[in-house]
Amino acid sequence: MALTDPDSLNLLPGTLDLLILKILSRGALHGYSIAEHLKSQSDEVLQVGESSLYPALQRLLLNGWVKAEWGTSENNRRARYYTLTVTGKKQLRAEREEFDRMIAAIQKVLHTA
Amino acid sequence: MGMKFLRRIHYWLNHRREAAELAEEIEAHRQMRQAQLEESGLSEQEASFASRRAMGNAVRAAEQAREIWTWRWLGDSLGDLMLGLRDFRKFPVFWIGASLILSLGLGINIAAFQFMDALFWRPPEIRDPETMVRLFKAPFGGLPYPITRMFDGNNSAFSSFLIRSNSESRAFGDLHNLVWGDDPANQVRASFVSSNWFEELGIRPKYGRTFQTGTDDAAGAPPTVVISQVLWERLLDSDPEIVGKTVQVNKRAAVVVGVVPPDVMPSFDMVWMPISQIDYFVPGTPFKTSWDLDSVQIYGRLKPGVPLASVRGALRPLMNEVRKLQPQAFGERDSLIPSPASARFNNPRFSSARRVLGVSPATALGLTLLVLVIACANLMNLVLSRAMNKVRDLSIRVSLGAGRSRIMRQLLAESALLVVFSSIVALVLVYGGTQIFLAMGPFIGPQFDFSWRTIVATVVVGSIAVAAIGLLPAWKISRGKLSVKQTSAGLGRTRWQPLLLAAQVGCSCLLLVLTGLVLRSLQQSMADVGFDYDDVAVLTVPLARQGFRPGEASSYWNQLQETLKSHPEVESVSLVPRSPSGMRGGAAFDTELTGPASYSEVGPGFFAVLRIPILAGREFEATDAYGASVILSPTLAMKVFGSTDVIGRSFPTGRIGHHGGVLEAPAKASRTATVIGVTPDPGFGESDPEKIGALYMSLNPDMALDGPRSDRALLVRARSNAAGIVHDMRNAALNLNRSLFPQARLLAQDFEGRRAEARMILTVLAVLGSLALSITCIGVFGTVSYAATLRRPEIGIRMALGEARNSILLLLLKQLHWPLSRGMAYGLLAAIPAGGLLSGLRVSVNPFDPTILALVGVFVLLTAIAAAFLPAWQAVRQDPMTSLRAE
Repeated sequence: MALTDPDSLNLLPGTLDLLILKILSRGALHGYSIAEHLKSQSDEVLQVGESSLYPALQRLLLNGWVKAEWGTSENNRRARYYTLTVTGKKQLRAEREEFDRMIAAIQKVLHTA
Repeated sequence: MGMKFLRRIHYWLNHRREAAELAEEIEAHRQMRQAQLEESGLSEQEASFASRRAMGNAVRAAEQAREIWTWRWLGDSLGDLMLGLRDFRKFPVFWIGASLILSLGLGINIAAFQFMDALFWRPPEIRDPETMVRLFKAPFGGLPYPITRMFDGNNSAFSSFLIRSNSESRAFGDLHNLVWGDDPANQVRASFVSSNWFEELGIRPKYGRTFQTGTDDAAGAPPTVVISQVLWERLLDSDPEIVGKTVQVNKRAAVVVGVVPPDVMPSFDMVWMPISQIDYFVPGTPFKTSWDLDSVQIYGRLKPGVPLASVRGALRPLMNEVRKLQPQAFGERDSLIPSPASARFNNPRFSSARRVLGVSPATALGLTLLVLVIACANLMNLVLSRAMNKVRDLSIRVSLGAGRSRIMRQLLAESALLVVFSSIVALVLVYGGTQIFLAMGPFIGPQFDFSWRTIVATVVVGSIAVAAIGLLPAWKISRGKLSVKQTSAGLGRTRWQPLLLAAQVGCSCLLLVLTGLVLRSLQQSMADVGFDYDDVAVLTVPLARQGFRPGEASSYWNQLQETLKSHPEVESVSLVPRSPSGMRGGAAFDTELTGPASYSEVGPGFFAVLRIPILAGREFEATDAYGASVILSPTLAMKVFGSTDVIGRSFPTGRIGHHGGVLEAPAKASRTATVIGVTPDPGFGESDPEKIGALYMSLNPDMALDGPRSDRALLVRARSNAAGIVHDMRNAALNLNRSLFPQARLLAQDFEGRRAEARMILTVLAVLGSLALSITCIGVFGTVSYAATLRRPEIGIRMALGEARNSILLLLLKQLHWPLSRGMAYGLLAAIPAGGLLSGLRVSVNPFDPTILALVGVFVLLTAIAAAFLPAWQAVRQDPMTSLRAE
C-alpha cells in the first residue's frame, strides 16, 4: 500500500524533512525529481501528495538547511534547484542519528512486547 | 536564530514574489509529471487529470508554505485587527463616539503631561547635565554678588562656576523685567549672566556668537546682548541681519552679538547681558557691592568623577572663608546645597510647581487622570454592552472551535484599535492646541514642542486604557457559558455596569465640587476685601535697584505726592510699602497677649484712600512719628485691653517684638505706642471663620534701602475715574526723574493679577468637570438605552397589558438608582479630603462646604435624569407590537 497521506510521513515528526535532506545530500535537485527519488528509492511505498513536498521545502529554506536557485531542467524547463547547505548537512547527520535511535527504541519495544 | 528572523523579514518584504515563485514551481512540477505520464502513454487530458491528482491539494500546500514563514500570533493579530476594522465599518457611530470620548480623556492627560513636563519635569537641555548643579544657600536660593569673586578654581569639586542674576531675588527680582526698545510698557524677561554661561551650558548660537570670556567681561568692553530666537521672531520680525545691530535694553544701547535657540535654560529669558556690565544697563545699582542681597544664582560644573554627595564637604573651606569675611551675611548654619540639572536646579526645599500652579503637579495630573478614568469606565461599559450583544456571534465562533483565549484576544484587539485610533486623534488635538497656544500664547518660550517623552507618556496611558477598557469585558465574556443557545439577555445583567456608572458619577461629583470650592472662594475674595478699591490707582517706582539712598527716596516720594495732590482729578494719596493684595493676608504675629493679627505699615491718608472706616479716633497724619502711634481693630483691642474704647491707651509694641522681621520699630521690650484709632477687622466680613485682628503703624520714613522691603507703592484715589489719571501719574513720576521706570495701573488690575492663579485652576477644573459630566451623561444615556433594548419585549407585554407609561418609565429610570446613589455618595465624600489639596492656592479654600456639596449633588442628579429620560421616553413611546416583535 502506498502511503499517500502526507501526514503519515509525519508519523515521526520531521520524517519528511529528513528524507528530503537525505535525497539532496547527493546533489542539487528540483521538486519533481525529489518526489521521483522519494518514490523510486522507497520502492513506491512513500508517495506523498506531491505538492506537500513544498511546505517541507519552505521549512528547510527557513531553517537555512537548504538553499534554492532557479535553473533550467534537463528538458529545458525553468525549475528551482535545491542544494544542501553546510548547516543542512550537519542537520542531516544529527537527525539521522536521532531517527535511528528512535527506530531502535521502537523496535525494542515491539520485540519485547 | 537571528538569521532565521532575517529570512522571515526578507520573505515578508518579498512575499508577493515568493508566493508567485512557489506557484510557478508547483505548476512546473505538475507539468513535468504530466509530461512523464504522457510519455507513458496517457492522453494529454488524462495525463493532466492524473498529474493534478498526484499533486494533491496544491492550494493548501501553498497556504501551508506561507504559514511557515509567518509568525502565527502575528497572523492571528492581523486577523483580529481586520475583524475590528470590519466592525468599525459596520458600527461607525459606536466607534466614532467611543473614540471621541477616549480622545478627549487621553488628550487632556497628554496635554497636562506635556505642560507639566515642559514647565517642571523635563531636565534642561544642556551639555553634560549630570555634572551641572546649582548651589543654593539654605534656606533660600540666592547669594550676594560679591561672593562670586571667591568662587574660583580653588576647590576640589568644581572646574568652573556660572553666575546668573537671581530672578527669584526679593530685592532684584524686577531686574528680570527690562524695557525693550522705547515703549516702557514693552518689557521682556532678561538675565545678567557670567561670560562663560552659554559655553558651559553647551548652548550654540543660531546666529552670531554667544558671550566670550575675555571679550565681553573685559574692562571697557562695549555693551552687548544675546537674544533668544523667540524675541528675534516676535519683536524683530526675524531680521536676518540683526547680529551687529544696536538695540535698547532698559533704555541703554547695546549691540546684539548673537541669537540663541528658544530652549535655553532657564527658558523664560529673552535677553541676556554680561553680568560684568550690569552697572551700564542699570546705573547706580548696589547689585555688585551689597552683601545682604540674594542677587545671584551660582551654578557649578563638577569635575569628572566627583559625586554630588561630596559637594558640601568640598565647599566647606570656601564657606569658612566667606564666614570670616562676612559674619553677618553668613552664619554658622548657612551652607550650600547642590541641586542637579536632573532636578531642574530646583530648590530642594521649595516646589516651584506649587508656586506656579498653586497645587503640586501630581495633584493636577491626578485631577486630569480622573477624566480618563471616567472615559475608560464609560467605554468599558460600552464595550461590555456590545460584547453582550455579540454573545451569539461569539458563541458561534466558540462552537466552531475558537479557543476562549482567542475570543479574549479578539475583544482586546478591538479595544487596542480603539485606543490607538483615539491616541492618534488625541495627539493631533494636543499638537494643534500646542501650536495655537504657542502662536497666540503669552510671551514666553519654554519648550512646548512634542518630545519623545510625550509620545512615551501617550503610549503608557494608552496601554493602561487598553487594559482598563478591554480586559474586563474580555474576561467576563470568556468566563461566561458561551453556547449557541445563549441569548444576550441571559448575560445582560451584570453587576459591573452599575459599578462602572457609579465610578463615573463619583468622579464627576468630585471634580465639580472642587470647581465649586475654588469658584466660591474666588467670589468671596472679590466680594469683600474690607476696603473699596474702585477708582484707586497704584504707582510703583523701583528706586532701590537704581541706587537711590534712603534720603533721596523719601524726598522723591514726598515731591511726587505733592505733585499728584495738586492734580484736579486726585482726591487723596497715600504711601504704602506695597500695594494691598486684596487677599487674606494671614496673621503676621500671634502672641499670647494679642492673638493672631495682621500687621501693616501705612502712610498718612491710607484709610481715606481705601475708604476704610475709622470707628473711633483718627487716622495717621504726617506728624505721627514712626512707632509712636498705632491703630487697632476691635478684635485686637478686645484681646489686649478687654474693651474697644482704647483711644489714648498705650499699646505694648515692645512685647510683640521682632516677629519674623515684621515689626521693625520696637527695639526695646518696654516700648509702647499710643492708640490713636480703631478700624474694622481685616478679612472677609463677619462670617469669616479665620477672623484675626489688625495692627497698623505709620510708615517708617527712613526706608532701609538694602532690604527687600525698600520700595514703596503710592495709592491714589481719583475723584471720578482712576483709569483717566494712570497716565498722568506715570508722567508725573517721570518728570521728577527721567531715568526711572515708573509703573502705574489700577489697583483692581493688581488684584486680577494675583487672582490669575486661582482663576487658571478654576478654568482647568471647570473644563475637566464639565467634560467629566458630559462623558458621564453619555454613560447614563448608554446604560438606560441598553437596558431599554434588553427589556423591550417586557415593555411591550407590560404596555399591551395596559400598564401606564409613567410606571414603565419609572421602571427604566430605576436602573439608575444604585449607580447614582453610590456614585454621588462616594464622590461627594471624597471631595471633602480632596478639597485640602487646594490649600496651596493663594485664595483660601474651605474644603468642607455643605452648600456646594448639596448644589453639585442636585445638579448631577438632575443632569443624569435628563440624560436618562431620552432613551427611556423613546422606549415607552414605541408601539407595543413593535416591541414584542423585536426578538
